[in-house]
Amino acid sequence: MAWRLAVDIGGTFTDIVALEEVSGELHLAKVPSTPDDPANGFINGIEHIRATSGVEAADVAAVFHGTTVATNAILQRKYSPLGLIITLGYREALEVARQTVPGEFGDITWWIKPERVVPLELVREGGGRLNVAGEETLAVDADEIRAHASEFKAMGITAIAVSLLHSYRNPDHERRVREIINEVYPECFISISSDILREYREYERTNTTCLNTALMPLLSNYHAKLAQHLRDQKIAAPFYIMRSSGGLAQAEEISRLPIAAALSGPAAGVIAACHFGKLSGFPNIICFDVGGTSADICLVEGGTPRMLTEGRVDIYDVKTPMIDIHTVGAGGGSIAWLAGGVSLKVGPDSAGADPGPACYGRGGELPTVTDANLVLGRLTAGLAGGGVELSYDRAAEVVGGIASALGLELTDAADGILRIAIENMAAGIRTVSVKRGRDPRDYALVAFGGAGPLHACYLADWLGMKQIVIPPSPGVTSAYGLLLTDVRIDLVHTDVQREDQLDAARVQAQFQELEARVVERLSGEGFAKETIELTHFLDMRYGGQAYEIRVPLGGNLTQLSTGLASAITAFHVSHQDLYGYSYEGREPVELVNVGVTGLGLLKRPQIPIAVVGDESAHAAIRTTSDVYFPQTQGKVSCPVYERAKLLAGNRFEGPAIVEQYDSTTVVNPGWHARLDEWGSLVLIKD
Amino acid sequence: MTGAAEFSQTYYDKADEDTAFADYAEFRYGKVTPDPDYDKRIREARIGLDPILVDIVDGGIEAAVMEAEAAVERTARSSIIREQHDYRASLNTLDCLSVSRVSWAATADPIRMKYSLDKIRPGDVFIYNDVYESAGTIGHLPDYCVVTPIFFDKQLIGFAQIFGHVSDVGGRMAGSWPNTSKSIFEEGTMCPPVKMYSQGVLNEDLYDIILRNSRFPEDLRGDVDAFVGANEIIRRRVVELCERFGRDKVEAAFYEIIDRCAQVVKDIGLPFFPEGEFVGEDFIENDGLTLDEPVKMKITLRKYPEKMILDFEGTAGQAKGPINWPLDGRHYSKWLGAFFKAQIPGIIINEGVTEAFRCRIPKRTILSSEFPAPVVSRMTCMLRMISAYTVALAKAFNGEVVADMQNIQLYGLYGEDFEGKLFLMREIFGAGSGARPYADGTDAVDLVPYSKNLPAEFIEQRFPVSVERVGLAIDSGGPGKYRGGLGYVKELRTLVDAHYTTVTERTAFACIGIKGGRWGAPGGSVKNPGTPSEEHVFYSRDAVPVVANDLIRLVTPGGGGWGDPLERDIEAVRMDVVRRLVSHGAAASEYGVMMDPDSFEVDEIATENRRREIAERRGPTKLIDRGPYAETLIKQGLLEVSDSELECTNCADDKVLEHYWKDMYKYSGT
Repeated sequence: MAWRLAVDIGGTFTDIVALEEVSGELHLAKVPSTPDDPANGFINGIEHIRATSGVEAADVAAVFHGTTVATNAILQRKYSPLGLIITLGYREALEVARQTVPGEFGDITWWIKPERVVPLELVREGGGRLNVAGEETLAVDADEIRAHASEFKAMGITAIAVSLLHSYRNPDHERRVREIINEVYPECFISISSDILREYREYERTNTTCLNTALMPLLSNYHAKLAQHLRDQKIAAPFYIMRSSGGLAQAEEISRLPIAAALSGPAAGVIAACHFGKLSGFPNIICFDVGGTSADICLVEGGTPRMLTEGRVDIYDVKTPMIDIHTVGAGGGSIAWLAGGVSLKVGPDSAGADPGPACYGRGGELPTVTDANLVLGRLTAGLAGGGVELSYDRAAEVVGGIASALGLELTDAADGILRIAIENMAAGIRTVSVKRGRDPRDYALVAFGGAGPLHACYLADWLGMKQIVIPPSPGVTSAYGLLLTDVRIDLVHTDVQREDQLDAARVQAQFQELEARVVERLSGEGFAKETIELTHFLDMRYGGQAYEIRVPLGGNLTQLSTGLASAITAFHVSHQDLYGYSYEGREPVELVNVGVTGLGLLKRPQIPIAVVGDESAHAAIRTTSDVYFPQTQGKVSCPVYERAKLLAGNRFEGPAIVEQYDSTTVVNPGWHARLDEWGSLVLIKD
Repeated sequence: MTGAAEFSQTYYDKADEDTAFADYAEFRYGKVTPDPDYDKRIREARIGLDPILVDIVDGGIEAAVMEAEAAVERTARSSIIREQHDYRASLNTLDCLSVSRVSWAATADPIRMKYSLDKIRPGDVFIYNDVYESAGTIGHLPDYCVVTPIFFDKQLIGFAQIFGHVSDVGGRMAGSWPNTSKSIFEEGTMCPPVKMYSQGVLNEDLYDIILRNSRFPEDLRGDVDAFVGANEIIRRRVVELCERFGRDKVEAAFYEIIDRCAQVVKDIGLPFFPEGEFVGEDFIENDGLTLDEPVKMKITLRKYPEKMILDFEGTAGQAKGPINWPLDGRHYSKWLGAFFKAQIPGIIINEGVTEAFRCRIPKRTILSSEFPAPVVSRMTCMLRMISAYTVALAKAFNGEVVADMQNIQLYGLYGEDFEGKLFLMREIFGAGSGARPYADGTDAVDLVPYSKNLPAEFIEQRFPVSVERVGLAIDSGGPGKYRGGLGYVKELRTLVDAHYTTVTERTAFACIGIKGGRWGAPGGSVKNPGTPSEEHVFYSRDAVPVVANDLIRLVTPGGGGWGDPLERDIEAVRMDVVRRLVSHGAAASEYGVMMDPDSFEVDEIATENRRREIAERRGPTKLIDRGPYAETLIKQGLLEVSDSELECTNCADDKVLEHYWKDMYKYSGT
């Protein structure tokens, strides 16, 4: 037996999937997240799944982890105060930033600059000076750095970022500064900008480095705790963490480079949604991942999500590769409240996992979207297979509070809460589609997360969307996504050369050196030669341009000249495609970077195929229930299906409810449902 | 002290006002009017148009414009474009109305006025930089504009256009920006609206002439090609929208989008303004030639229930130097309309704003100069117009407005690099923004959205310069209950002999403080600060000589303050001192906050006494605080403003003029 364990921590629930590599045997579990110390959720999850599935420590082949710990720390400003050491003369570099006002003409009058990661009183200058060639013009003054480090230590600052001019060219000064800080303050967390982002443009590099440093104490403790737990459990398997880019990395990377995992959890969900969308025949999808706290939305065309080389995490510009995901603060736990006592609002505050919605009976006093769903009969059983009992009375009581304040019937108040939550989610979908000139009606909605299937039909009706895919285990889809990707290492070497003066032997040597380093790292992580896949790429531009385009090297290194020629052609074609013109045949191209991507291929889990049945879904009906739909203006009786008993080919029509361990699907009137051969529920509107 | 009665003057019932509103550009191009069939077709298509479809088309256009601008940033070569975002893309309808939001300026009008519809064909691309042939929508020659007609089903439906500030278009000075020009012919080569591509075929001879007239032809070619390519992106996206929804619906949506703006301006914008007449004045420091003669900008804001007019009667006549801006009223309205956002955050401004808000520009002023008057520094008009508008609004809203600011200036360094090649390092600088009635101004920001400063690591790669400081000017933010934003400081050490050039304002005049808020500190430059050869340089200059290893400190002005500084939160003052944004001295003299210089501990009793003492000494606070340079000139009778007499804060001082006017013509060269 070789089990893979995947743990995805959301704001409300921690989802766990255990999958046996050969047989495809699958176990799912959900435990409440523990926002005060997210590591406990991970630990509880591992213990819970092992207890329920009987997986032995020795049989664990690998552990995968997706987490929103870094994002939440940024959102809630729960990161550590940190110091910044920056080149003499640049104390106010973060204040000046790029002197940019976002938005349109006139916005300067009312725009208020967000807080900087490091306030001015924690910025110190020093660390020598390099010229543009990376040559020293002023040496590092060790005494000065020691004094800064001691001062930070005395102030109780536990993390220090170091960002020096031209360190992308020569990291020696930054390394020297780190060494000196280590001498006087060894327990301090330090990151240096040349390790985080080895590119020119000092503001972007400094800001990303500061944010990374701010997260280090928290994420480092977090990782240490998880790793210790695995050791205590005698689980010796490799431990991977999902990056924002959708590739896996060794878990300890999160202690060093937490910023790369800022969107770790949502990225895994997108990967899984692409997978299930493609299986069911929908390469163009809008991923709709709704948990307790937020909805993560991503538009996918041709089965591949759009990648960004830089993006925003909350208010901060972050230059690190990430999938283009848009988050809105609307989830099952979003709290309904009355602004000014009269105007009904939902979110962005969430009851989260603790105390959770009022119907959880854990002390939640405020009405949430989940309570509204329960009042409307849209949630029939408990959550997590009965692991969380739901109290209708508690839900009716808190929703009733809103109803009486507004002079509404209970169901009307509940439907109002739901409608506003749906509107917030729809605004998120419009941001990734309509605002980019895409019509959401041309896409299938892949709905998952514990609360995605509950709201999918309502949302689709709202937006005029006609196709929905609900993956087999929607509540743990993100955790499942962790099992669908590979370990990835990208290494890049900068060496600007012109096409017409190209030293091909030098390029060859650079590629070979990068290859060797990638292979060495992946071998070190236990990948056998045949499970390592290498691809080569080049970043090119026309002379004088500020940005490059990444193109693959055609063929392999043995025929480098052919490969380069095809890469250059690919560059002209991409330039034409992206920017509307090219200088093919007129101007030489500049090669800026050569790079190698190494994938450590993990065996893909066996995809379980649903057992085939006939068209009738009758056998899966557990009971009937009275459910409120906006179209029916009152509750109507509708069948409740057990998803576990649905067979491939079964069809039924809305209105209907589908219950399963990790989620509930509401099928609105006017929709047809069919379970396809991959176990996904495909809903089509007439 | 505000209200119509006090400021009511002669123009209230201006006889030509209605005409001006109907057809305000009669002394320029007139108006491109589409044929009646077109109007009818659009009107019919608008009946029952799905509002969601309008949202999708609107979103599609904004995304296309953003995508095109991103493409320019990634492919252009002039640093002012690729690093600083001094360019704008937009989409125009067939009759040249701007559908997209970002661009107030260049439109397709010059093309429509010159080429009849049957001469505009698929695959054509037009180019121009001609100021006087484009009603000033292209404001100066370094802005090259490329216009691409968009066809669907063989029918012309609109124009994609991009203009951007290229490095050089010839003329007397490297960088094509002589502050002392007396004619547009000194400012570079003029390219009237011409076809660069005819049905897909490049006119290479034309392109050769354009490139030959630039000191940096490679940069210029990269920029123009980037514009042509980016227009192609907009064209493609609009065609895709037509393929999905049909041409009529997409065109109908264009007009719907414009009307939405008009509706919001009428329904939400206009009612916000009090009715009556309000006057605001401000001054450009000089015209570049006669340095001790400020140039007046005067605005009379007249607000009626259904419309608002800005009348520029009283504004100085056409200048001899290059500060003229010969735009037309329609475009001025869009430019100033964007500043409605100070009152109504988030309002979307496009062509629709001109339905309710227009400018009346008298003939032959700095805002309506005539060929061949010089124009390259028309930016000074853009910025002082905002300041005069701020003063008028302050009177209309009894001071509940955002204080004054000056958020664009250029500094350049040029000479020969180590290899003997001509270099031009030029950077657009932001400054402190004005304080708001609810918050401090922002430090070191540029007015142009998405404008970016030059990274030091970029400057040092490309130019023989070492960047020794990037920071904020302490004490530059105008004191107030809310402080003005701080100006920007950059110190450059030149590694070769060179000259530097400045295109600046607010180096003597100050950003105006509002409602008790004080003026912000003026900017300027200093050669070799703190050494025996220290030298201050004011105003715009063409060529200040420097030698290798000289240090040049460039400082931009702080924004005006808002509200009484004695009411500023004491902890906010303390933190400003801790952060070195405000000095101990200014904390005591301006804010009356007394603290220990080492521990930063506030002495509450001393503070209370100090604040009382200052309040007694200075008397009541003022609505408009223009700073010492303006007050001195007003006191000497050299300038006139219609501010109430109360507005003098007694900071007039003859020494001020001596400071600014001593050796004033030292760097005026010829």
